[in-house]
Amino acid sequence: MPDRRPVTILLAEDDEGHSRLIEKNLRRANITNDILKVSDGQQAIDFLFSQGEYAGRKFPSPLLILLDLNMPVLDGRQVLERMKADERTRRIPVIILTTTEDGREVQKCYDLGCNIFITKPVDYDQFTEAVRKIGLFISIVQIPDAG
Amino acid sequence: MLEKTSSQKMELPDRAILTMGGLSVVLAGVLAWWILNESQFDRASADYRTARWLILFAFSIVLALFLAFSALSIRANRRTKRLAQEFHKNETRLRAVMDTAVDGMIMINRRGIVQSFNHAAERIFHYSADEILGHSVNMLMPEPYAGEHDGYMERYLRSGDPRIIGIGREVTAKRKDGSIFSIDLAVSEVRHGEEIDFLGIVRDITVRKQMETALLAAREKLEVRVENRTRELMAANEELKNFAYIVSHDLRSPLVNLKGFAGELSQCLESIRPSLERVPQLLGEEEGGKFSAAFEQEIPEALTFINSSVARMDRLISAVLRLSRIGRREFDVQPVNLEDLVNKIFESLTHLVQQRSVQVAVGALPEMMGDPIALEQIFGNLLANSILYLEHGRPGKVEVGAESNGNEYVFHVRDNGRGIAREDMGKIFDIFRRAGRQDVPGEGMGLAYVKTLVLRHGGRIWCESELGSGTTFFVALPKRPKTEEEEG
Repeated sequence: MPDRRPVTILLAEDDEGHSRLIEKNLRRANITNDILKVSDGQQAIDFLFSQGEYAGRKFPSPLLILLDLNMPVLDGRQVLERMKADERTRRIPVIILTTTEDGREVQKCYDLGCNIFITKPVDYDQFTEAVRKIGLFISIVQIPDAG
Repeated sequence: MLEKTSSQKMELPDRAILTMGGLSVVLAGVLAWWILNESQFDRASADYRTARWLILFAFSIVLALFLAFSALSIRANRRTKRLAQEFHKNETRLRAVMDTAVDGMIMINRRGIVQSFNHAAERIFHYSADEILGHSVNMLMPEPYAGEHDGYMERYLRSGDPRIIGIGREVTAKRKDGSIFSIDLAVSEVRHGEEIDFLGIVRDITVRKQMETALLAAREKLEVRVENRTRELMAANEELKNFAYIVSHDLRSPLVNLKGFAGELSQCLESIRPSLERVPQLLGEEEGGKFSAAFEQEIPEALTFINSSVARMDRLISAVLRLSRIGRREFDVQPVNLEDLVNKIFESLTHLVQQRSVQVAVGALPEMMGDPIALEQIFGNLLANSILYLEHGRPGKVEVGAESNGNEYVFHVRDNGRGIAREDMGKIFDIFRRAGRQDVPGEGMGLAYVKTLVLRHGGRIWCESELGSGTTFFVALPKRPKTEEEEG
């Protein structure tokens, strides 16, 4: 599939350290795609709906979102809710990567339409491994083009 | 005070009158005889004889009639006297009853005029009987009832449709001073021939009314207070549940960084190791030695400590998280067979039981209402502990039993293990606390979970132990656990 455009990754994560570690490990997994970072839910929404500081800029397509749940202003769940309620953004794949492992939270996110829910392992080897697998997944997954 | 009518007296002929009557009859006979004898009749004549017989005959008849009358009147007299006595006795009794009655008794006639008014009624209405006898009972009623009462009575007498006859009810009444108060009133009708009276029995319920009102107010106040307190408690409880969850969740985030960047640091060091290894040679002996020590020992040691501490912190946080989940999980109360449950737990511990050659005894255990998961966790922890903390080199014995005690079952898990020191008894149920020899891995959370679960089940847990010879844990659980709503 040589004609496919490379996927841009939007990393919505309020913890800079986490964000950096995720990026590092994605790079280690040979993910060379563009990685854009936002640090709260509102920024993610602004980015997706071309508003606020992203006014006038349409988000790159195809796009995949790595979304943290516990973020200030708007949390990940609210971002997910708004995305899935809007025709323009509802097909964008969402991978939730969070410290929560509460079963109800997991269920709720899948109900809202998230594609994958991953709990961040505290153990760094496992964390690295998890992000590496996400990288592998990203490299093979078919992602719809928003056009 | 009681009756308006004067007491009745029977006017009857007494003995003296009867005696005088008898004497007059005899005297009249004797007189007739004497007159006949003194008369100028020829004693041998037929007329004389006839007259004599007639007089005798008439006298006998009058005498007989008189005797019969006397006998009858004496009998009648006796009977009347007896009746009068009885009547008097009854009346005295009735008065005694009425005057000692706690309730007011008021008799009125068909026109509403008060016929009798007992002591209690005097006390209740503050009228003396003299003031009220012969007056309308309306005096005792406030408006508008006073005005309507005559109408009620008239209607009842005409149509027989009762408003109050035969039914007790609460009404308002009026004292002499005009104050209005509540009474219980029961009215019955008293029919004698064509006559009809009404008896009203009255009880002052002012105090009861006041108490009812006060009670109602107090109850409302209490309800509001209980409601507020419940709401506060529920909010506090909810907050506490969320607190543990949020804390453990938010504490985790920085740990990911600590661990992550410690890992990055290690990797970093590894990646420059070939270059670093050449550095000491360039630095000379003393500085080179320092460099080597830092690079080979101190930095890796620091990283090891960071990693092990982070790992431990993560385990502790997971433990708190688990405890908070236990608090948050909804209980699903259903019948649970404890004997099956305990046997299953022992089956899952078979490996340990065989390894330590533990002798297991399970007594008769009841079936009870409970949350099966919670009960499994409670007994799972206690049984695992009893085996894990056995004394090495002594054949282990674990015994489980239960007793019914009122509305609860008291379970015990008894072992002949190492026991718990007296000074440690207080802390064994606390989180992260572990007692005795630390040769079994764990976070010190097992008994904290157990205690939380037992408490949520509405039960109690305690323990008896002797260091070196064994421990018995007791768990008292209600036969029917309350639901959370009932608790609230």
